[in-house]
Amino acid sequence: MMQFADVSNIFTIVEKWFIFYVCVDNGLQFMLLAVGFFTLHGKRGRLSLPEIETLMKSPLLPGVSVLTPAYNEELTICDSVRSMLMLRHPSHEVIVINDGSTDRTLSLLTEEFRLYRSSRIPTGNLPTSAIHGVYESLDSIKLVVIDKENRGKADALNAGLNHSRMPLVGAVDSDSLLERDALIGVSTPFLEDPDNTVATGGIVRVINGCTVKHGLVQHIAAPKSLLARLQVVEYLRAFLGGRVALSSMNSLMIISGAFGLFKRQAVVEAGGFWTNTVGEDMELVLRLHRQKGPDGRRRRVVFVPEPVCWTQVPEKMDVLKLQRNRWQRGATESIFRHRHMMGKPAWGTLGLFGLPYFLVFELFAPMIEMAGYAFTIFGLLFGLIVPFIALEFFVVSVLFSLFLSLSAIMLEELTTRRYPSVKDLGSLLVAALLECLFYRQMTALWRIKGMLDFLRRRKSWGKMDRQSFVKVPEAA
Amino acid sequence: MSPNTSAKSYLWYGTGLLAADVLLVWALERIFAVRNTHSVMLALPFAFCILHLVAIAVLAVAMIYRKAAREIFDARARVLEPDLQSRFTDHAYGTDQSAALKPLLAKDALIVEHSLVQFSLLMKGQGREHLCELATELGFTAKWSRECTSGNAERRRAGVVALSLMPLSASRISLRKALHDRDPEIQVLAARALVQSGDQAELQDIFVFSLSQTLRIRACLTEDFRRHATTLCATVVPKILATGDKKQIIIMFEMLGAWRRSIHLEGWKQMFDGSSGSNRAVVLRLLPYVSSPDEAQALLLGALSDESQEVKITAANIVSHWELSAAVPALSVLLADSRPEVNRAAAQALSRLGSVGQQVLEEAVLGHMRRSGGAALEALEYFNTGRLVGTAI
Repeated sequence: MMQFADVSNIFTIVEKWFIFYVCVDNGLQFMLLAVGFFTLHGKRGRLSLPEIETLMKSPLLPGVSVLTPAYNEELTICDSVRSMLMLRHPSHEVIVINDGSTDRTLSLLTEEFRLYRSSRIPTGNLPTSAIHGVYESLDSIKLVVIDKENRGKADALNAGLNHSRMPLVGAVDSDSLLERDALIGVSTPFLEDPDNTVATGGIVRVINGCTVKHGLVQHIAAPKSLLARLQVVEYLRAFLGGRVALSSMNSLMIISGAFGLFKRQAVVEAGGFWTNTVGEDMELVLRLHRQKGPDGRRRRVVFVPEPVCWTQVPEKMDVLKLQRNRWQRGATESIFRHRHMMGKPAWGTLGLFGLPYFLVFELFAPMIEMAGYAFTIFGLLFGLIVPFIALEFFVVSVLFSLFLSLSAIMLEELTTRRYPSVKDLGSLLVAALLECLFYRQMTALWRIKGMLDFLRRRKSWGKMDRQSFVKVPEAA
Repeated sequence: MSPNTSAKSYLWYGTGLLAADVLLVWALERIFAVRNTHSVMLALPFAFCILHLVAIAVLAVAMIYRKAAREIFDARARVLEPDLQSRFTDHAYGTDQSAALKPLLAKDALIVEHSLVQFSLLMKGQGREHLCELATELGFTAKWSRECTSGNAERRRAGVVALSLMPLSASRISLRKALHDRDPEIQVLAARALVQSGDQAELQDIFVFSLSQTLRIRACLTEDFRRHATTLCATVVPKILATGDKKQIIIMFEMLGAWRRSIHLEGWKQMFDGSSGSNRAVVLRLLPYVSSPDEAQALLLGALSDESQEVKITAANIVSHWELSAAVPALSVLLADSRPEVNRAAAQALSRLGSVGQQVLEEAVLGHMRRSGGAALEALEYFNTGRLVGTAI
């Protein structure tokens, strides 16, 4: 029979493996953050004003169809569409896809933008649910609204793709606002390497706490809600660290569904957005990675750190829980679907580093981390591990994580400097501390639930709670 | 340095930093933690804690210090700005202010420099020349030239922007070097400064240089070259055509087409024969600017039955622009094409060819032809509402 000492030895060895895992995870994140720092350091990222002015006149810039799926977005839709119409680009059109909304989304759009039923024909033939009608504005604005039967975001994007007429298509969430130069900014990789670039994505920032006027973010501030502030830190860490670094290695797997730009032809050739998933953005990017360029090289998927998309993040626990559950399911579905690319040298750094890294340190991270916490607490309670080892585990997981979050905020301060006041910076520093102490663990639990839901084959999107943007009073 | 090379070196830098972190933890454990904790087991977490707590404190203090320093700098600049601007104005109008400005350099050199650059951007002619002399006298010109070779892209950018205000004699060497910078924005800034200097040799050199650059740089420079179109077409364009380098010539044609203005160009037709579909389409796009409808009609009608979809669409667009009613039969054939982009372009062109074209469209609508009927209806609607939505493809 197994002695207490043997059990204790086993616990100690397992605990050391947990520590090793957390060390490697945080170490790799540190390395990615450092790569992000060196990549961003000294680069403005944002195009200069004279360059934008010049590009605005240039017919050489490829046109963009901005696709915006909308499902029950009556609170934000008009502001979002106005913001998209005001984007600075020499040739862009906005296509809103009303995905069977049951609220006043379509009627608000019809009233606000004077829509009429148009005869515009689709130029693509990706399969979608029934289209009830296509509408265009009587005013001289490039707005198209497609009214269709509800079948989810991916199907709505495919309907938009069928009706788009520009070489590039942008996918933008209807609860998000783009900065005026965002479209030109995110197009630049297509100008630098037009043959091989298939997708680009901009940084997504948290709009909660900011004020909006005429569809534009007027004043930037850290959110008042603690939950939203925690997400600011989380977004900074993910975008400025991981995505910048993975993009520089051409291993970027996620172009945020809130703001991405794709080469239309490449997306159509790949079969459009996959409708049988809740993670259509990641799944499409992985499929695009599988295409080869005209010179036989792998296609490029690029993250552009400065074009900003402002998005609302959940301020209620239950909504955040649904969102994280969905993200985890989407990521798992995508990785599972493209598992054969894993570890294959044919896919370069994506196959050899990006995908294995994502699997081990993103997808499985919540399970391993939470198992580590449970194991440590159990071991401590029953005296199976010595307190020093438990301390080592907590120090490595919490302190290193805090160090990484602060580094991400520092990176933001060194490069893009979006939060103007010292007070905002202070509140973000406090949020970074709390993020490591309870937020991370809480989201890990939700993500584990997401993984279980994937195994149970649940496909629901979940009901998202929307709020209208905080507006500057007209007199201001 | 190519983007790939820089990515690789950044990866090495990142790995180096991680290695340094691990080494520091190990060194702290050996040198400091073991002695102070008297426990081998506690030493490692202790060393880890110490190092990262110090790092966290340094990061937090650095961030707040940086932010506060910037706010102080901005406040100081706001105070000095009105006085500086009035001195620059006086200097621009001929009253020497260098003696009054020199004492400020000891404490507020950055503010003076920044303000001078911003102010010079607003000036032209003799006023700008006086300010350039002032910049040289205050030692800024030499500083900007040094900045152009800095390892920090932000500094190089600032250096090039400032030097672009200076006379070419003082900035040429640095700007020419900046043309080969790894940051495309700096390349564009340097190229534009050289083009705007008005020097003919520089203009021609930059035109040739632009042909080997990315679309981003070409798109920016194309707009600058537009005002020199006549000169360029008389000098460097024929030379490039004479080289017979197809790739370069097609890129040049794209730029010439983007000027959207009439130019005199010989020998463009040769490029149409024997080229690929996309190249023929590029040549065709130049047609409205280098030829008259009468001269080009035969070529255009031939292009409508070209095997390439791109050529057909381009030809249909030009036909509609010139309102060539002779193209109606060819467009009627294209209206029944199985490719939606082609029959859409044909329908759009027919809608602009008067009653004959519109009659063809009405027949297509009434004939209930699924594809062409839809394209015809859309074209008629757009024509009647006087709008063009999303025509580019």
